[in-house]
Amino acid sequence: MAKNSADIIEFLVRVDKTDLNTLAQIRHFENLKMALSENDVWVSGFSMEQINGAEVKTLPKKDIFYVNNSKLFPKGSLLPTDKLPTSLLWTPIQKALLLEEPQLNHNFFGIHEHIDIQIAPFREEMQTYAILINLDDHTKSVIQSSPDFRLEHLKYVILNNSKLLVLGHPALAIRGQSFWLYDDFILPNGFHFKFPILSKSIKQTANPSGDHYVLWQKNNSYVLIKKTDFKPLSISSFRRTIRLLE
Amino acid sequence: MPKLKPNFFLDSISHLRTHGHLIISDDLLKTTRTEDDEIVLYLEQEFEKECLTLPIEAPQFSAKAALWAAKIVYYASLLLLHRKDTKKELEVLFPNFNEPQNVSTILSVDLTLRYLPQIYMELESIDHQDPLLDIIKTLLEIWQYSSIRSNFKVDEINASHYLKSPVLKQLFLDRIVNKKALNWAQDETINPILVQYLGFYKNDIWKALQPIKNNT
Repeated sequence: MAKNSADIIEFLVRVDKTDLNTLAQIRHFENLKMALSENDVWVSGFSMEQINGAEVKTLPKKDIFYVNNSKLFPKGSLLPTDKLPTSLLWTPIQKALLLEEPQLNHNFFGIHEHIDIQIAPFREEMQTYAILINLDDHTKSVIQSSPDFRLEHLKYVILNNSKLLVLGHPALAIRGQSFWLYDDFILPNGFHFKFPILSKSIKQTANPSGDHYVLWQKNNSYVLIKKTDFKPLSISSFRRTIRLLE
Repeated sequence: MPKLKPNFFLDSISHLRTHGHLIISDDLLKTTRTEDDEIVLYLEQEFEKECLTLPIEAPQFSAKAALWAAKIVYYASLLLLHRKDTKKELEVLFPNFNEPQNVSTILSVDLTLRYLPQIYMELESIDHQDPLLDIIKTLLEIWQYSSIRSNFKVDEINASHYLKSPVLKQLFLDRIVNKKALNWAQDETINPILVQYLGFYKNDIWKALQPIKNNT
């Protein structure tokens, strides 16, 4: 192993035992390990990104070292200042720093408050999974003149006799509203639940059995569509369906 | 009781189309008028079903072309097994089809002629000097839409005919993609057109197909 490679430099952070609570801001780095000596708390296992990140830099009182031959070099220095104490017992930081939950407040009267379930703009880019298309003459002619291989991986359902919802990727080359899939929710592209943590509860309420897709619209209403109602898209299937509608 | 007379021609062709097996029932190298009528009726129904899946407006069914092709396939399959003194009859049994190739005739013929390359290869493995081989080969060179298979290729693709009209071009390229006929797709004339046709998601559709690089 090349000891001088930048990636494998081992960094240590030392804080006073009295400042233990300040470590709360780096507790969410799961790769960190922590050990206690007489007066100090030692944290190790930092990656290069983490040691240069804001969370570590904003620790109020700390010493950053790197370790070489169990000597401690302050970060940026070529001379060692200390030796690494032996007999340190390393534990994962999340086990070493336990969370305390607030006690149950019997006098809390806020339980009748409620929040509206909403979707909100969402930055991350998601793979388009569904498109909602108007079932007009243009759509019909595009589908009826598409080769098999553009259709066979798609599934479709017709909504209200006027809209066509097509699932699958690569999508059809027709202009429509695009959606992405999240745990059986079909959400508009660029939107996610305002509180994604609630999505399990929303699913429990809206779609407990999981045999529907929930098509969520921008006005925060939703439509349940049975998964079995989706049929593989082919020209003949589409033509026969259209004929039934007329 | 003429109605109960078995129609081997129809049985054989319909079984071939539904199950992909050949049933060779007798060695009679001719068909009767009623048999012909029945098979045209059958093929017309099949044609209508198939047209539903085509990405084009349904063309007219050509009874004449469909019957001609059905007979070619039927006789060729019979000759796999039964050979007497048929050498002289070959030209009579396998006449050329003298009408122009258009979407209607190409699709009508394809109902049965698509099985001919397999029969050809079967015949070839039995006897590669069979005079029948040349006759069938000539037919397949003409009806190239039906010859598209991953293990059979015509000598020269008739691009000026098949790639000229947009309808035929789409059918022709779709057939190559559906059959995954790489030997056709790697043809110099077809390859650039096909790659362009598959477009941006080519790798999702057909990964094995690679564009040929021009050395010039």
